[in-house]
Amino acid sequence: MEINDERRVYELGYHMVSTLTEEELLKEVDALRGAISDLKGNFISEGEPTLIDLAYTMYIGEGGKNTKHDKAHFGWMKFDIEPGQINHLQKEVIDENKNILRHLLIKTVAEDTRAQVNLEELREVKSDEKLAPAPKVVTKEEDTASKAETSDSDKKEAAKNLDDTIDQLLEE
Amino acid sequence: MTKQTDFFKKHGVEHIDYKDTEILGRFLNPHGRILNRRVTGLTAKNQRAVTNAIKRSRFMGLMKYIIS
Repeated sequence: MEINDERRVYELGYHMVSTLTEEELLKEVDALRGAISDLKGNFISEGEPTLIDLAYTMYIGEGGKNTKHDKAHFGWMKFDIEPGQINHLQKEVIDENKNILRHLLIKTVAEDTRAQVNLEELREVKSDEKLAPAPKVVTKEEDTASKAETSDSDKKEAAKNLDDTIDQLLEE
Repeated sequence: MTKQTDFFKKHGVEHIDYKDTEILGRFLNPHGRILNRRVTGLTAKNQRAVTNAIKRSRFMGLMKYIIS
């Protein structure tokens, strides 16, 4: 099968082992970037590696011994490259790197694929959360009644004030 | 006219990314299994994309395979 020479966009997601220090991590990511650049890859976007708690424990065998990983530095990079180079990248660069715990290399598009949805809108309320009471809805009847009440009390207050002023005048 | 039930069409989301775990979590049941299209209300195309994204996310340890 003939491989098309046109460039394709790929995304590489990776987990670097959590035992790496910040300097070592930067070095590893730079090495990865350098390898992609050497294969004439052009970077489109990148997600900085961040230490995350993995959803489940991952094990990798090293010298007949399994090592446990609950955390990892997760990062990703999107680049375009000739499809013929991808196999080399995967086999010679990524698989050979012992610090890469797991990786995912997928075909994607150059545009930003992250959803721009307001996450507050998506947030589901947990059953143990206390909900703030909803603002009281004032019906028309209640509204007019309250208005009537306020107008009555205003009238009483005005009459009282008038009485007081008359009393003061009489005293003078 | 029928009501728009596809979450992604409703919110104008064109691509479904495996890194958007908060969104993908909406399409799982309490045990972590992928919900049926009858339940999610997604189009066939988006249902396939969501399934793919959830599987990628699980592989990368961003989502659990089983929620116990």
